[in-house]
Amino acid sequence: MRERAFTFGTHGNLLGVLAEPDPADAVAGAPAVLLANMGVNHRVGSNRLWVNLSRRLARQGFQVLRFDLSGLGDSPQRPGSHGDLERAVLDLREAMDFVRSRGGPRSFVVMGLCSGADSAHAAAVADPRVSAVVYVDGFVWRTPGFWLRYWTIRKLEPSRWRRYWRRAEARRRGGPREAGEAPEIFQREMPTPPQFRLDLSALLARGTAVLAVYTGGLMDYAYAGQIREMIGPLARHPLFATAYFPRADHLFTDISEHERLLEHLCEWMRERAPAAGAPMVGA
Amino acid sequence: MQPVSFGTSDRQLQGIYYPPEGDAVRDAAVLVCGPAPQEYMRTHWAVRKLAGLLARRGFPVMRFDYFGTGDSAGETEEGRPALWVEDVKAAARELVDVSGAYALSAVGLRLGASLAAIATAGGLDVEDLVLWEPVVHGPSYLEELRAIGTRKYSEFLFPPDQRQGSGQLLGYAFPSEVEEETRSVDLLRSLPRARRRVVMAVSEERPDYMVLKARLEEEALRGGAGLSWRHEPETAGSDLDGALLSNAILAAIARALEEP
Repeated sequence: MRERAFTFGTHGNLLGVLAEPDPADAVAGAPAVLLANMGVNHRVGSNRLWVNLSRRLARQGFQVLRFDLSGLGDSPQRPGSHGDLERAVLDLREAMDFVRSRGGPRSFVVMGLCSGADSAHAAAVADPRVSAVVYVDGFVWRTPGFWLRYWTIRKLEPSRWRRYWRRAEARRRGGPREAGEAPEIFQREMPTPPQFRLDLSALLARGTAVLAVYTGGLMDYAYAGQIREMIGPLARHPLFATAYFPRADHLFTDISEHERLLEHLCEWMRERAPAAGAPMVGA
Repeated sequence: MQPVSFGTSDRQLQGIYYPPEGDAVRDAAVLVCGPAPQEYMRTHWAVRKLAGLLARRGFPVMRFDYFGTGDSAGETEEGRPALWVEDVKAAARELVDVSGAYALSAVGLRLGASLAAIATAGGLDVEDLVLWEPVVHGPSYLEELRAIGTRKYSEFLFPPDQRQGSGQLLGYAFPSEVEEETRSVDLLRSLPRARRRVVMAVSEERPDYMVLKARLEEEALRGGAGLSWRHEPETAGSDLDGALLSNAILAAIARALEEP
């Protein structure tokens, strides 16, 4: 595995690090993986998640480009006036062009966490070169099953009561805290539930594999099967998979949960990546 | 802005070099040393802004990731302060090579200030050394990080174990040897050195800063480097919000480096 940093893109403003497998390990015809920002965090990823994932996948035979979308991290803003998602799609397309221009694959897996999932989804919908997409704590809305658990089971979970007392104690003590995160930075541009189902249906019909990962740290996601309630029969599509990490927070801060996520994503890639340029395969 | 790789093949470090802008190029290049992994992500924007600001003022600038952090090689648990001091020295050599500058100054943030200071105490030759919210005393710093963790984890359903010996701290592997090396940081014993000036850029007058300031003033009277004290209270509050969003302290650092 080797890594090299590049600037690329039409305007030369995008900065990223390409992790490439040793030639002997390279999986012929496998898609390349693109990792962009998690919210305002730069390409390294919270708790170094994207660096660790890039290197593991590269050792597994995949090319991985982690990079900063324009206006975030180390990539300066691109010229012109664009909305966030429009800009993200342009950037991700230029990232695909860049990997391809270096003799890389023709198809891509785009992974995103939190608002990064919004960018990944928009790029997947817009560009048929995206053969798989991974949303980590991506799209969610409250379902009847959520509300049922919200008023019953969740109120009885000891972990929630312990958190209540920890919060009260932390408020009482005061003291240092992490850097403030202005709420406006985290405004998400999620599609409406019907639009998301339509997009998903089109992606799966096109042969794009989808993995939706959720954590116990996502307030609106209450149980492992909530995604099935959200998207109905699409959840049974062979190209759709889901995973739930109930003990993880949103950014996989605990190193054992961080490790479990890496293992899960690597295994998903190993199982579903084509051996020789075929489309992603289902479960 | 140019990505640069340096170091040995088994310890390759990643940095970003900012060539000086404009016609009036300064003599001294500036090496920016970021904090430890636990404070890396939330200070990235401020460090990046400072590097860009200094480059626009005519300084050749480089910032970089220590071994086992950010984009540099190595697993997180392999990085430790003693190695990072060597990384500071390697980065300094790289910056002088890349820029062709005649002299070098260094800016360090939090633990990065301590690492740069220890490097100067061990012989790294700098014109100016800026200690930006420096970690003066390792044990107090660790207490502070754990207090941040306690507050942050109060929002978690399953808070990570961050006690000493748990092997992790604020989202990163934190082996006991790293804890011990961090605990041993003491800027009053490894007093920073500079040819011209040591600058302390701080957002509050904390007791540990005041003790270090007094020691540096004594040193200046004995013929050591002069001390420039830059206190820029942050409107965002007295915590590290300022490091994420501040402009005032960045401008103060740039002014300090520009002064003859």
